[in-house]
Amino acid sequence: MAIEKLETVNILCYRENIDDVLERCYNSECFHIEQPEKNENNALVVPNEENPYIALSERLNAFYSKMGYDPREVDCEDFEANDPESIGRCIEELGDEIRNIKDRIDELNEEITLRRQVEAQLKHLDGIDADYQKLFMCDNVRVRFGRLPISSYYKLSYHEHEPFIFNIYDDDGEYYWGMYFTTKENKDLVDGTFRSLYFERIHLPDFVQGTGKDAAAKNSEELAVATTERDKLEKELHAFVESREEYLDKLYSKLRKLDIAFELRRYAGYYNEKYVAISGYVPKKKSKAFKELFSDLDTVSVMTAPVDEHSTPPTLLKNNKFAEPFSMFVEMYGLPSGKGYDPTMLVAVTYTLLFGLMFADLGQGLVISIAGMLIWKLTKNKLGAILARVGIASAVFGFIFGSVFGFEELLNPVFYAMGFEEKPFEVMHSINTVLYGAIAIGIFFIIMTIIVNICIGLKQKDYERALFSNNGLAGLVFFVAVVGALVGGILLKLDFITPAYIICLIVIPALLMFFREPLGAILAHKRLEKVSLGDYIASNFFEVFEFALSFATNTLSFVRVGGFILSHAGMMSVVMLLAESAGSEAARMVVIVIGNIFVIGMEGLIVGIQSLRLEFYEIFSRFYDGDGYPFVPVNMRSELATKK
Amino acid sequence: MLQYSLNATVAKARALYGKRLKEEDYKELLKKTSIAEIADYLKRETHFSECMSNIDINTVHRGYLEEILDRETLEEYVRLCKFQNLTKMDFFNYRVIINEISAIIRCVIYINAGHSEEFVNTLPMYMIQHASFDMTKLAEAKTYGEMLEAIRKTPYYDIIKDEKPDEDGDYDCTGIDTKLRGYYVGWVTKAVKENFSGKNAKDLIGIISLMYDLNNIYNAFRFKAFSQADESEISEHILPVKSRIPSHKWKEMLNTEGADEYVSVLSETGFGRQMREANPDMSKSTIQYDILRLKSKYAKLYLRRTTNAAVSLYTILFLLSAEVKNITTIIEGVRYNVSPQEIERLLIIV
Repeated sequence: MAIEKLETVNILCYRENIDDVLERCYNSECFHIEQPEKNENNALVVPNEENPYIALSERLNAFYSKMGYDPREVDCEDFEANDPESIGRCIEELGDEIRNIKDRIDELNEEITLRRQVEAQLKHLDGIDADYQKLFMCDNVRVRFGRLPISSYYKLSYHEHEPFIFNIYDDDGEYYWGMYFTTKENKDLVDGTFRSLYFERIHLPDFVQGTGKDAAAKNSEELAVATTERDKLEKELHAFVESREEYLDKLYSKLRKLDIAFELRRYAGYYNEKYVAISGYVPKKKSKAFKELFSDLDTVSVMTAPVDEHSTPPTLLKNNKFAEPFSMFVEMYGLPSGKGYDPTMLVAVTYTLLFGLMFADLGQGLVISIAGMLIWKLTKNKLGAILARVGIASAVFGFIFGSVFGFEELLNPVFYAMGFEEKPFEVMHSINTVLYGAIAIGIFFIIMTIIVNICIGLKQKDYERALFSNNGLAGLVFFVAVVGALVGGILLKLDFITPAYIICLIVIPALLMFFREPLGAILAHKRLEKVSLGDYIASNFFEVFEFALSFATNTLSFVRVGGFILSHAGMMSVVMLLAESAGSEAARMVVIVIGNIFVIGMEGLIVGIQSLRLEFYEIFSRFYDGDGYPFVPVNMRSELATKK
Repeated sequence: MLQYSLNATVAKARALYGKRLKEEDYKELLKKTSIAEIADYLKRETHFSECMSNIDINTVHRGYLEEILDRETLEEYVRLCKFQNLTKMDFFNYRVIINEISAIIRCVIYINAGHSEEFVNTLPMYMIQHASFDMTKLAEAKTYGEMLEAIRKTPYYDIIKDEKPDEDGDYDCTGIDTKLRGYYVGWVTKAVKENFSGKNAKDLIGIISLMYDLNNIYNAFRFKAFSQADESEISEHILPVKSRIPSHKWKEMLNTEGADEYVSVLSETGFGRQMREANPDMSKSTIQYDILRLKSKYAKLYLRRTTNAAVSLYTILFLLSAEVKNITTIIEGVRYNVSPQEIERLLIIV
């Protein structure tokens, strides 16, 4: 079982030591802190203080973001400000230093935005050869600039009796841009009509004067002036930031540290305004070193103890180098409980075997392995490490099946040298063997996972699960007996299926599964939940029927292992046929290389997914709960909290 | 009859449902204080981004925004239908029939009101493009006779050609509505039988009847709330679909004294219990939304469970339309300064 053993930790200290203690916990990098439980007698109170550093962090981050500065975390021990007030003052002073320049940049940005908007609008109206302001000054005519949805335009013809003229100057696919004229007396009627047709009126700012072209030219000129001034000021701001870089980083780091320390206070419980209790878990092997961290603090008491049976500790997986990357698959399904069974090693072995079998090729396996190693080295992606391992398995099975990049005869001299008269295993000539073998693998895996489930059930004293469930002893006997009857009795024609065999090994286990709940309750000395007899019989009858069916379907599901062995051999023979039909030797090599790349890419992906499917559906579903939660040392937790 | 699998259409419909606005989107929208902010959010954060790409969020007209969203819903439906060439089957034109019937009824309402020229403003271009007859002629109609002339070559003509005006010269819009919707129910039932068989047909009829059953409940409520109509009068306007409400309960509902009592009897039925479960404060002022919520719940349920392309398209179109209705409710709420809490109460989130 590859779950790190943990110990519970209880720390008791004076209230004034809390930040120091929490900082040491943080620096230990091995302390999983837990939220203290509220005591019924109110002896332990979880503090509910508002973190003053959150608002300051937001202010500072917004400030840095405006300056375009990306701060780094640096050593900030010598930074004097150490509380919300002094940090707030630092931010304020920093703000004062650049306020004038920043305010002017903001003003210019607003102007630039407005002028860009006007520029876009004028672009659509530059066909208007009249002075805008003069148009607005007409006494008896009203003019409106804007745009009308194209879908509304055709409706204007239904309003032609109304006194208006609509002139179009542009169309952008969704709207017609233009203006309409109407009389002073009829403006309400016409405005209403245009409003009902979704006319979007544009109110041009006062600075837009002259004809369309003149106004656009003037606007562009002003836009360029504003942009130049803004760019110049931004350069000045940048120079200021560069000159104060060290100070900015220290301020940021200090605030972040104070913020994290304050956040951690939420995990402390207060006794009588005087004492503070902190609890959590450390790995057993580090518990002594963890205690040592507090040895110089006389007023702090650190107690460690084994995890008691009522607690639910977090899970810290511990695996050897071979199995470690496969923890990715386990975590994908759900972390095992802290007291449960970590199936990572089982997954590592079974996944590697299944992948190797289904994708058996010495050359391609080595390519996958090398590619996996490169991915792991360059990106630290666990999938790369997994590929590096399963590629080796592919290579081993490829050697056994005598396949190298699709060349089925290439290894024959090696086999002869090893004393074989011919290639020991020819996939395409042994189709039945391959398929029966795949089913045998399925039977073996199912039996193995049921045994794992029985062990877990016994360890957890869950007798219903261990003895009477479909994945318990009853299910195991039932499954083995049925498989025995099918293989021995029907295929091998052995005469051992007697009424006693059927009753003892098939009927009784089926009945035990049927009555698993009451039997489990009796052994656990628990009361059985009340259900009506009819409901119980109906639901359990179908459940037992489903158990039997699922044994059959789960076993047959492994036929895919054989299927992929055959499909791999089949695909490579197609590549070889195509290569043979290629004209020259060079073309033949090109076809072989491309064919191999294609098969590695496509079949490698499919086999990877199918192996994972077998793990999750046929193996995990029999014993694995995945209801744990991760062991997260306080530093990582705080990183996450801050990022969030 | 379908000869090939339409699972891809079902999957696409479900994927489209996956892109719907979620509760957190509505929460964000409720925080907005202007149409521009709502448009900005829809343009940046939702599946409406593409259809709003040419829209200037600062100037877009509220009505046009709603029209764009409605158009997008219909176009999504058309795209889904075209994906596996389903437009060849009559049934999938059901939305066009519904739109045409709505347009005719609206046209009669405007003619009655003497504002026939305003009808055209309510007629979106996309509806005209997808119609089976020339809707621009309908827009030109100034009298009932001209309206009939515009629809002369359609099946609707025979159904409403003999309508007579009352003493004020007005035509009975409710009666015309009932007749046309009755025609639609008959048409859709026939189309389902011609295009589908077995379980597919049964499922489709099931969801359509359910929706119309709930429509009947709302229509009967409106009679109770806005007129003194008796059982026989209301029964004339009930569409011919099999109801889940037992006949004696229907009778009791139709014989109630006013809307409050109607809602009270309704809440004793299966539908009513579900509505009250979703909204414990169900009353005559919320019944419209309670019924819509229940319809959405059933649509979602059918969409999740179905393997039938027609059911998935029927339900996804309903859910997409409900989503647009929610957005419209928020836009109108913001426009008329309704509090976010009040708007939220009117949203259909299932």
